[in-house]
Amino acid sequence: MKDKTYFPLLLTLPVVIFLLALLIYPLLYTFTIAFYDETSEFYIPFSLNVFNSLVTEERFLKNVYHTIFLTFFSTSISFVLGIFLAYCLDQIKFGKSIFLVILISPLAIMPVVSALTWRTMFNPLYGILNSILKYFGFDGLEWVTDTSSALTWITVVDIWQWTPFCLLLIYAGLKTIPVDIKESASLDGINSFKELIYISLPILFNLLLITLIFRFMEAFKAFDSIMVITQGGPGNATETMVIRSYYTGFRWYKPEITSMIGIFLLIFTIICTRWAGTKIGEQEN
Amino acid sequence: MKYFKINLLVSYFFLILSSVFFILPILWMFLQSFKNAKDTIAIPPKIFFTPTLSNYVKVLKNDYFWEATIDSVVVSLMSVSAALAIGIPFAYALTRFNFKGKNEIAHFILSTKMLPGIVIAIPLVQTFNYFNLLDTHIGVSIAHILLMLAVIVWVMRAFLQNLPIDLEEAALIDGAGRLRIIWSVVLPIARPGIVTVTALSFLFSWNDLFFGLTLGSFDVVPLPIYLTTEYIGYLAVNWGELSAAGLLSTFPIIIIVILLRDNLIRGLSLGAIKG
Amino acid sequence: MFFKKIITGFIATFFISSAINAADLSNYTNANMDWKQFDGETVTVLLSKHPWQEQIEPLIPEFEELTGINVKLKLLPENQYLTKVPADMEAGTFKFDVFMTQLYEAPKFCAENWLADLEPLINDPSVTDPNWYKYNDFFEGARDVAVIGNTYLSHIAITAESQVLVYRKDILDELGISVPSTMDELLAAATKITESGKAYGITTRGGPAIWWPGLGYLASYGGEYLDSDLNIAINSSESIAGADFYVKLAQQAPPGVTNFDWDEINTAMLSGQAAMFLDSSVIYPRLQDDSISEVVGKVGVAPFPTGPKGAKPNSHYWTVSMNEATENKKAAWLFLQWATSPDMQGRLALAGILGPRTSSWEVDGLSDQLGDEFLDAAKTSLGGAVIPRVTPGFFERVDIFRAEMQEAILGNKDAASAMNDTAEAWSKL
Repeated sequence: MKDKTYFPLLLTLPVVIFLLALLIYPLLYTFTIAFYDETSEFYIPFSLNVFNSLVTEERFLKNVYHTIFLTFFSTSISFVLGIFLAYCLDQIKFGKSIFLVILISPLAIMPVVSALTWRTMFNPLYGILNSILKYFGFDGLEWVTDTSSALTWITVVDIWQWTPFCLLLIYAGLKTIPVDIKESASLDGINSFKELIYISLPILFNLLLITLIFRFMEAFKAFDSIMVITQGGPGNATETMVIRSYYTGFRWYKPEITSMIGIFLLIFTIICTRWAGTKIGEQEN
Repeated sequence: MKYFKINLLVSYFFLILSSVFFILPILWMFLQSFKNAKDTIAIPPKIFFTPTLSNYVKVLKNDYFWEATIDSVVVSLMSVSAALAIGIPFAYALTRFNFKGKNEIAHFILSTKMLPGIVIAIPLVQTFNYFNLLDTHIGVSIAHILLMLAVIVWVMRAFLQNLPIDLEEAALIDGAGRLRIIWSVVLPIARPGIVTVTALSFLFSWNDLFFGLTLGSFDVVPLPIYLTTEYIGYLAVNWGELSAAGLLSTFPIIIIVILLRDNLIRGLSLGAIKG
Repeated sequence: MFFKKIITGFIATFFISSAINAADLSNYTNANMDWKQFDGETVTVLLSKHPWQEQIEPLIPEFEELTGINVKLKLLPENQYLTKVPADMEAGTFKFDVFMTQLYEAPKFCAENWLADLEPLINDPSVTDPNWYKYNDFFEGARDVAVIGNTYLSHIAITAESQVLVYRKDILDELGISVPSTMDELLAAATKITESGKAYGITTRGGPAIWWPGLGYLASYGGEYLDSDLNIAINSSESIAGADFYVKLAQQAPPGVTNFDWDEINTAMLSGQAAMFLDSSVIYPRLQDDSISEVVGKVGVAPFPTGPKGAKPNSHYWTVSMNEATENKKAAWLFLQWATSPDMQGRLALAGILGPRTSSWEVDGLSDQLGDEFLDAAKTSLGGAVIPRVTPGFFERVDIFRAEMQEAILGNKDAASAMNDTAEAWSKL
């Protein structure tokens, strides 16, 4: 089916032009103000001042660390948990639909509303979580109100919110695997877990990669839940790059820093997804 | 056989365990939604209380809640259908053809999802203003397409790669046009994938707060903005009604999940066709 | 009928809604100007969710009747308000004529010329009757706020709040503690109450807005954020002493104080978990509302306690401004004038929204409505109140202060090093 026609361009080009029309100005704007130099006498005012001041700033390095911590743990845990739960769901016979509905229900609740609910649940004084702990005779925890544990619990909320995303995609993927492949595997005496690892997952390799990419990007951009639950505090313990860019852009009127952080995020994500994206494309040749 | 049973047992065990984790906040919202104002902020939190339906009654009797629901439904339907209509053929073109710049185009689509809305909010608002799209349903829908297009294109691409192409080739030999092949051959067999991305896209649009806030003012007030405006006061959160409204607003999603569930659980018996 | 009963019980959810007097337009038509001159035009208004907004919103039809002007109103909760306004302003697409402003952002908003200069309108006899509007009736503090940051007249105050001490009479009586009148007594009382286990000694903001009550403590110890020449004064020995006091006080608050914002400190008082509260006077009417409060009739109010350098609570004036891009400034001014007029602020005061005008504190029936104890405490506190010096980058400064204070409250560093680190970070801005 590799005939030469203009058909594929007909399907793709209009969309690309439409998107470019929307995004070209935001992108130009972002790059311009991030590198703008008002003192420059050259035709193109360009400077790395913003870049330099950011990468040498201790607080920003912490922002980067928090972002990487959150992204790494949230992505990896929810991805593995998503695969595992999809597998469990595939195994069982009774109650499939009820478990599926429960497991993906976090996706259905608006993030602002669920984050507010988490915030009250976390409250050490009147939150339900400490009440439960105390009922079972444990001491209450500090949850998101202590600098040492806040980021961990923010990560847990992110995992809660996005594992359903992984689960849904992977479960749908498992359902597209032809039944005869599974049947021949079980006839060969391979148990279902080995079948998952050695047969199903490799077939779904591309889908898994793309799930991972989107999961990674969402974790990297996590905003609503942090903003509602801790606003970046206590101290700066949960201030990620995106939270910082919000403050610089909307509260402190330093749009050049927001833009620079946006460029960092863009470059990070491009580096991290380029390989996977190309890998997915390779299969088509 | 013995292994099989252990396997089943372990599966149920982990499913129940995770269900507790995933349902807990929603269960708490559910309890809150039946409490009166005092009970919602009682210390220690109340698990047993005299339930009241007044929160639900108040939310359902609120005309603005329904207006916001209509805004959300309109925006979601427009953005999801438009995004699917351009996204699926796009993914199809990527998987079934080789053309110059293919990978670049695919990566460009992916990059539309990389920049967080907050970072490009100001120039984006200016762009929408330039096209006269501020505070219109079409404007917010277009912004929502940005949220979902990358997911549709790339996930469908991965799904379509796994689908057998023999049927399409047969149809091509029979003289069917490309668009007709997409419609009557590809779409039916790619259904689990399409249903999944449809549901996800709908969720992205339905739950989006940021674009509704920055691009809408009077004429478009989607649910997430309305809920937070109505039930979060300056002094305190109206927990009972917020929880009730939050749960009520998941209703369209539940319908979609039920549709999706049927498609997913039935699964595919494609193997027979391919074989 | 069962439902109806519940619903009626629910009506006063957020605030004591004392019925505001029915429309009597003669108090407005007696102004020597033509209210009807912009009949049929439209004014768009954006308000943040706030008790003031809750009380004035139902009165807007009166304005429409008075002037024939059509008002289009949009509300947003504070967090989204603080996103939408700067985003639209920076993009140049802000389309509201009248909106609520925070005085702390005045330097930025005025420098960018986003706000209209109201002085010509106040002085224009065709749209303002000076004898009716009585601009000088505003407190001096409120008139300072109007031009804060040495800018033009752009912010008209709508509320006047300052820190007062709200306490549980029953708990203090039971433990034999007299109402604290000095900072030392306050800390001792808070510690004693927390140790008694009856309640937590105090509830106070330790979250994003920690700087607001924070300034009151610093000032009462003789400290401040910036001195009169705008040099950094946050790490002076007086400021450190004030910060140190606040840290010790906050440690007597319920666990989780570093995440306490308005909602949390209110909840702690309403549910009876905390015995004292030293924040905005706005809370008081709420505590007397038995649909949400467990402590009705058990709370007393006292002025801000005295520190080594006097009692200097922080104060706050919410303000309204006009968008510079407004097409019909005169019509928008009619709305602004109506909303901030002596009669309106008097009526709002009766509903519990204490106003920034002298006359609004002298309205008939005010002491019946709110009680002399509360009014006296609020008046005394407001009389000695301070207001932060506002410079560009105000919110970035107080955010650094917040992070350092939280570290100190959690015991990760002491107040002195927290303030020194704050000063160092400020000096780099």
